[in-house]
Parts: sequence; structure tokens; C-alpha cells
Amino acid sequence: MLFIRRIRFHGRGGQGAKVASRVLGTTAFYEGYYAQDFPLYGAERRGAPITAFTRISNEPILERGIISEPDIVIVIDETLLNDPIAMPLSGVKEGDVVFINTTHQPDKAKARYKICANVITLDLTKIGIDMLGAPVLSALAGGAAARILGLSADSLKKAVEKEISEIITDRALIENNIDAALFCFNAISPIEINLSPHVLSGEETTAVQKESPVISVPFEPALISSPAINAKANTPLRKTGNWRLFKPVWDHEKCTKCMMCVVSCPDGCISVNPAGLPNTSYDNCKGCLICVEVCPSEAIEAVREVHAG
Amino acid sequence: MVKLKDLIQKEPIMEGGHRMCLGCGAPIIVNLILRASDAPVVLANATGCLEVASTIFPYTAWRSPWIHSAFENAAATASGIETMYRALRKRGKINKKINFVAFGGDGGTYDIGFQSLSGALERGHRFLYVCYDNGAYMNTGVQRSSATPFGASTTTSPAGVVIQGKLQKRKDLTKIVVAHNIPYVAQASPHNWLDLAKKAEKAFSVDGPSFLNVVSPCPPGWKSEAKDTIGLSKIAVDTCFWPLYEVENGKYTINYKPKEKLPIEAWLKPQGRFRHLFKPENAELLKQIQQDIDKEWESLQKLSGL
Ligand SMILES: Cc1ncc(C[n+]2csc(CCOP(=O)(O)OP(=O)(O)O)c2C)c(N)n1
Ligand code: SF4
Ligand SMILES: [Mg+2]
Repeated sequence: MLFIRRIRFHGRGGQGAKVASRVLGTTAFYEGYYAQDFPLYGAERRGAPITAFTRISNEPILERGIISEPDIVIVIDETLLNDPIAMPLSGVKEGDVVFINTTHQPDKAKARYKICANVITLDLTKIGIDMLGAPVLSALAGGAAARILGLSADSLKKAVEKEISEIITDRALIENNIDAALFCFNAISPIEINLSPHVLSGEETTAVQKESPVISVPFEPALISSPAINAKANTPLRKTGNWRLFKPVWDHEKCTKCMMCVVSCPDGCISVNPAGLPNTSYDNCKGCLICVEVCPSEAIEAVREVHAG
Repeated sequence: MVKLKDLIQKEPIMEGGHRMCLGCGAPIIVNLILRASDAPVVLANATGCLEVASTIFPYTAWRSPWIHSAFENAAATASGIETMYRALRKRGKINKKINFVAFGGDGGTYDIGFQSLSGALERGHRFLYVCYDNGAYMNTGVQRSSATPFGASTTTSPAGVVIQGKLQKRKDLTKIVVAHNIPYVAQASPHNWLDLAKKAEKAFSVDGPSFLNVVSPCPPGWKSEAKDTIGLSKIAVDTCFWPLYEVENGKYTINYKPKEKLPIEAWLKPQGRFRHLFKPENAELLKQIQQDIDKEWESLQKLSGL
């Protein structure tokens, strides 16, 4: 009987969603399954939401393209649950599994984000910082996903070894990644997963796969394929301030009002207050620190950003 | 006359929250130029980082009407808009001044959009074309363009054992545009806001096509630090890699002469894309690059009657 699982990972650029999807795919491959994994970056750059996908099956996988109806969703960055563009819960149905990297207990998270599916939680960020010294969560999220899918610890170990050593050469760090992946694998107590009927009916899926190996993409009308945006400069609503590692802080006593910072800001977010002094909007300042460099009076200091919670 | 006070009173036409990289030079250039406009603007944008990262549906960073149609036709799009404006004006349906600006990256300008640019310049539309030159196809992951400097490592001219970065010299697009005999052509840099704003002001005042070629640091493509964007563009000018000059109705003027021309290493060193040039076996290449810069600088001085 055909077995196929569709897993979607949501993270921000740099957190490891793409590698997590690879770790999971490779784990399944070592376990004897067919596997497929790929990321989707969109037009965004650093810090932006990214999605990655894994398909696992006991038969060759003919399906292509992004997964809009996942069986399992892995949310590596909790803030994405409120992001209107990332929409990690889209296509999630009752009986599916949503894993969230959070400090909340599953029932709390389920209620808070109004999730109809089964919810599993684990504080990956803390584990990452404790075991790897940084919140790079690829091996960890891959480990959690492997457990949810019922794959073995042995295959996971081999997969992390393979995938992580393609990115880093530091042996100790590779070992730490394997340990962290296994830690996450074991930290999740297997729950009974009741996947929705459309995934379970093997025959049906097989029939769909066999009948039309080519998925046809419907033609989109021009309004959809090249849409118009009838708003005036609404990007400030997207808080690029969460890209920041350092923030510029002004010492207005030292400022000579030369305005070099205002004209040199790539994000157009430094404005002048009624007293003629520059201020930035931390909602959109990405922390490039060009202003700190161009200020001739050393009136701007770079201060380490500490994100709350 | 441009005053910094007036410039910064205006809201930026390209707002924050866009997804250009940390420290990208392009939005600095865009906002300086548009703040110097004496009239409302209508914008056309070629495909590239500026277009892609400023308009991620359903968001837009632009405060002014803005059109993207394709990679190769920003100048044609701007000509179309300007022609419609003239038609409406003739019929008395519009009477205020509007400025038309097309933005393109170096790929969209030196290469694929060159034909439509050349056509629009020759037809004499009243519009400003701005090329933000970051020296490669950055949006698609750093492929060489005809603006990529000699020796720069890109994904399609990778420095390794076989080649030492790009084997060809850059195309001198600014001078090619000059050859179209349009009223105003200039080269500028974002570090010198006054020079850039003055040039934009001049460009907006002519009755015909104008062109600005502006050097635009790209931290991921140049392998440089985000915070160094303004500093690097200053070094580009102080080494004469990117001289600031303008050509008004055929007359060349150098707008800034470095008191002491810096050696080209000062420009190459902070950029990872030139790292390989500092291997001892590449000393000859460095010399060659310096010689080329010296020759071009000399020829530019001659053109401006110095
Ligand atoms: C006809 C066509 N070919 C290729 C592409 C893919 N493409 C999109 S942006 C881009 C690079 C743009 O380079 P450049 O004009 O230098 O702007 P930058 O991204 O560097 O700002 C390419 C090749 C396209 N959109 N259209
Ligand atoms: S890749 Fe370069 S040009 Fe493109 S947005 Fe990033 S810094 Fe700017
Ligand atoms: Mg470019």
C-alpha cells in the first residue's frame, strides 16, 4: 500500500529550515523510502520567512511543486504564526500535526494560535543555544520531524552527519549537531498521529499519481499573474526591524545636525524631529550601521540588540 | 540650488520595510535622486533587486506611481508614459509638470535593456534614466555583466585555478550614452549627496533625455561589509575607479578631483570579489588594473580640457 507524507518547514533565512528539510529527507532515504526535499525562498532576502518541503513515500514520488496541503508542519520560528505572508498553518487540517518551536506547552500553543491539528512543542531555540552555542536549528528540527514520522534514530544520526558536514568542517560542531538532533528526537514522546483520511487512502493517492504523472498548472488571468498594488508605500507595515543585530542609538548632545545619516540610510527610516534632530524608526531599521559610519561627530553608537522573550 | 534642509524635509519616495539587503546602495541613490525632483514623479523599473525587493505583493515601497513590465524595457516603458503625458497635455487634460524616471541595474542597462535605452535616448523623450551599477546580476545571485570590473570574481567568472576573475574590461556605458548626443549625462556616487542631488536637479531641468550612472555598492555581491557602503563608494571615486563627471550638451566637466589619487588597492582590498588579486602570483594583474585606471583618468581629463 502506498505511503506518502508531505512535510512543510517554516523558518526565517539563516535558521536552518532548508537543511532541516534535507536532514529529514535523507533520514527517510536511509530508512529505505523515496524522498524529495527543496526550499522556496521567494523574492525575499536575509531574515525573511522561508519555506522548505519534504515528501516521503514507499514508491517513486511523481508529485512536484510546493506542498499546499501538508500532513505535518514544522514551525521553526514561532513569530511566523502571526505573519500574514508566511501563513504556516495554511492547508492544515484536523488530524495533521503541527510542531512548534516554542516555550509553550502543546495545549497552550494550540489554543493561542487556534490550531485545529495535533500540536507538538519543544523549545528548540534553547536546546540550540545550550548545545550548539547558537540558534541554528537545522539538525534539531530535522530530529524532531524524524521522530514525528516514526523514523529511526540510527538513520537520523547518519543523515545529520552527512548533511551537516556538507556545510561545516568543524568536527566537534558536527558531533554537537548529531547530539542535539538525537536530543530533540528523544525529547518528543511519540503521540498517536491521526492523519486525515485523504492521506491515508493509499489506493486513491496511487490512482491520482498513476493517472496523471504531470500536474497541470492552470492559466492565471493577468490580474493575478501580474497584479497591481493600489496602495501607497505600505512596506513600512512589514517590520524589517527584526533583521537587526545591532541598533543605532543617537546621542543628540553630540549631533551637529549635518544630516549625513538621513541621506545615507538605505531604508529611508531616519527622519528629523521638530528640534531638527535625527531619529530612526526601529520598526524598519535593519541595522546596517551605515549611519554609525558616516556620522562625522560620532554621535551614533551601535548597541547590541536583545530580542525580548 | 539644492539644500540639504529642503531635501530631507521631503518624505522618501521609496519607503522603509522593503527587502533590499542590509546596507544596499541602491535605495540610498533612489531616494536622493527623487528627493531632488522639482515635480511629482512617475517611475519605471527594470527587473532586478530594486524592483523585486521593493514590491513584494501585496506590498509596495513606492509613494509614487511605479511600473514594472520586464527586464529589458524600462526605458521603453518610460518613453510610453512620457508620450501619453505629452498627448494628455496637448489635449489640455493635464498641465502640471511631471518628471519621468526609469531605474535599471547594470544588467538591465548595460546589457539586456541597452537597445530600448538607446532607442528612447535617440527619440528624445523627456525622462531621466538612472542606472544603479552594482557590477553584476545581483538579484539572481551574482553573475557577471558587461559592467563587472576586470578581475572581479562572480559565479560566472569565478576566480580559481583556471581564471582570476572576469577576463574582460568593463564597457564604458557613460561614454556610450554621451555618444547619443543627449542634453545631460553624468556619473555620480551615493557618498557625495550634494553632487548627486545637483546632478539629479540638472537632469530634471533639461527638456529631453538625461542619464545618470551611479556606483551602487552591494554587500553580498562585492563581499563587503554592510556598514561600509558609503565609505566604499567614496573610495571608488578617490581611486578614480568611478570618477564624478558630467557632460552637458557634449561638454565634459570633472566635478571632483581627488587631492591625492588613492592607489587602486584601496578600492579592491575591502571587497572579497577581488581577494584573489592579492596573491603574489597576481601582482601583474594588479599593475595592469592600475595602468588602465590611470589611462582612463588621463583621457577623461583631456576630454574636459584639463
Ligand atoms: C528576460 C529575462 N531574463 C532573465 C531574467 C532573470 N533576472 C531577473 S533579475 C536579473 C538580474 C538583474 O541584474 P541587474 O540588472 O544588474 O540588477 P541587480 O539585480 O543587480 O540589481 C535576472 C537575470 C528576467 N527576469 N528576464
Ligand atoms: S543583492 Fe546587492 S543589489 Fe541586490 S538588494 Fe542585495 S545588496 Fe542590493
Ligand atoms: Mg546589477
